[in-house]
Amino acid sequence: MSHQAMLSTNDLAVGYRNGKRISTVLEHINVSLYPGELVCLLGANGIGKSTLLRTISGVQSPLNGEITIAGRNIESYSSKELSKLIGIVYTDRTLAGALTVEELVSLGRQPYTGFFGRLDDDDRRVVTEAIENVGMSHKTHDYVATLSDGERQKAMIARALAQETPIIILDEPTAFLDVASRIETMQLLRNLAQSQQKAVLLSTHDVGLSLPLTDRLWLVTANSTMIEGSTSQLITDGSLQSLFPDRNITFDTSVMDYRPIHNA
Amino acid sequence: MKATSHRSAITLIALSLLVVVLLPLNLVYGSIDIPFSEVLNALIGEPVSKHTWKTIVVETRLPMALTAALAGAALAVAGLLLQTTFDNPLAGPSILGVSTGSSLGVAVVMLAMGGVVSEALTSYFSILLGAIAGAAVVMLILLFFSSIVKSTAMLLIIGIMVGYLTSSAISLLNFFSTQEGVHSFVIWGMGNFTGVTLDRLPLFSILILVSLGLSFMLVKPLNALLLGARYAENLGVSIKATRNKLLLLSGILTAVVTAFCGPIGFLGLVVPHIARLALRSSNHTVLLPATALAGAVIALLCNLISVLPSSVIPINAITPIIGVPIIIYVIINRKKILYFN
Repeated sequence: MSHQAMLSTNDLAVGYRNGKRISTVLEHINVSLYPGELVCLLGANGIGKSTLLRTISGVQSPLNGEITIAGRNIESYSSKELSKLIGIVYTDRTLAGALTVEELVSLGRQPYTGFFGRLDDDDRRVVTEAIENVGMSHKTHDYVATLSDGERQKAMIARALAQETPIIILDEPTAFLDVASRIETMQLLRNLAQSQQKAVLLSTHDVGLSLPLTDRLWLVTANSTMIEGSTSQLITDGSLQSLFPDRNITFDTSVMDYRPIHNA
Repeated sequence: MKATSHRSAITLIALSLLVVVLLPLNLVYGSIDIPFSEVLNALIGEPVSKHTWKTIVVETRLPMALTAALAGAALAVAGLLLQTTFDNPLAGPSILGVSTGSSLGVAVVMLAMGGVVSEALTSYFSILLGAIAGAAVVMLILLFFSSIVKSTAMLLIIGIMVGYLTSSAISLLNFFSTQEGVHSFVIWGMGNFTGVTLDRLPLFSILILVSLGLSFMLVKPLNALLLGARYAENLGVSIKATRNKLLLLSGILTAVVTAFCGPIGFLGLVVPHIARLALRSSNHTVLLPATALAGAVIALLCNLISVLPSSVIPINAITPIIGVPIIIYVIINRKKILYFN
């Protein structure tokens, strides 16, 4: 890509430091994320996807190497500055049920509001637009507790949009959703990346669903190496086979998804 | 938003009106009922038909009612801060051992003085300092474990365990102390709002009002914490600093009330639920003032009930009667209650 990366890593190693004991989860990671693209992070359970997401979103310190965001090292940003660069969507259950959708999305304005968190006209406009963008305007005044799982996820995405960050990172945004909501969520993210030039990165296990909508992939292979490339390239060169080498499944390019090897 | 803000406004106004109604009722009723007109005369310095009435109203009932209102607000806000900090609606100063910590501090001071609680200001100060020190020790233990244990539910259980340990320390102290010491500690431990005399009311009020004011400054991070620590962090909230501030404030609020009024149970746990149910919102911008007002209302109500019979019932005999049914209602209906979902 010709334009500058919004986020990039240089020989990054992620993991945990416990006193003098260091346990490395993934290392030698060199990946980039560009504005306007939707990137999926794929890999087996427990391989370190969440650790990687936590590290590049600044929640956890890298063990080695560096992360560059908008041209500067991530460690040079204050947590306040970082909150204006990266919006995160988790699948955590929250105790926000007694807030309205509008109140929930308004929390996304916290990095911009003053001491008491009062919203000005500009903040209110951003909140309204964010709710519109995820197609939840009709639920603006509904309580979060009354939303379906899919609607709740959309509200959380709207909250990240209200944060007006160039980067949005989502940890398994389609987990726990029914298939209709999965497709809607993925399409929504794809549209947001394109229309608002956001750099969107998400981890997922919904391979079949995400591949057609994804520009590029970050693959964590079974031997913990990181492969980055365009979706079509990684499908044709067989890289997707390297995710589950010891398991009884194979990537079938005709259906663009994994299937059992011994198909009955 | 329109409907919610209407409901918030109505709730806040209704709670304020209840405070305004309950305050004079607490001045009128007691071991002797004094007509409202005479109470009014006593307050504005007009002549009162019986001299003792003036003394009762101005020197006993007025400080008692104001103490009840302030203590109720303080404990309720302390409970709310702890519930949001621990991301658990069943947290509260008495459950987490903070009140018990204060009690231990008071027990040490009282028993060291051999049960002779003189009217001297110094003895009040030493009891206050004992309570704050006790609460601080429990808070430090909780803070220490909060850096090791990430799960708030586990932290809550550690708090309960610390509470048990503190209780056993109090029992041991009682076992080894004089009968007079134990007696005055037991009386104090029943909880009452008469401990603050008119001349000590300013000190008590300032300590409580300043701490309440400081908690109002934390509305923004409190709202972010509704999404959980990870989301709050992404919104630029410093989790460690915010958690420390919230624990410190709730500790001070609990300790000051405990020092002056004894360990008052249940208010801190129950009142935030009453406020949330009434508001149908957990937005702290309205929840915090509503909790403070509801705390004052419930405490004034408890105090009124406690003085209605000819002799005074201990406050701690009344708070569970109001508190337990509400908590059980909340637990049984948690699937239907907004803020649990």
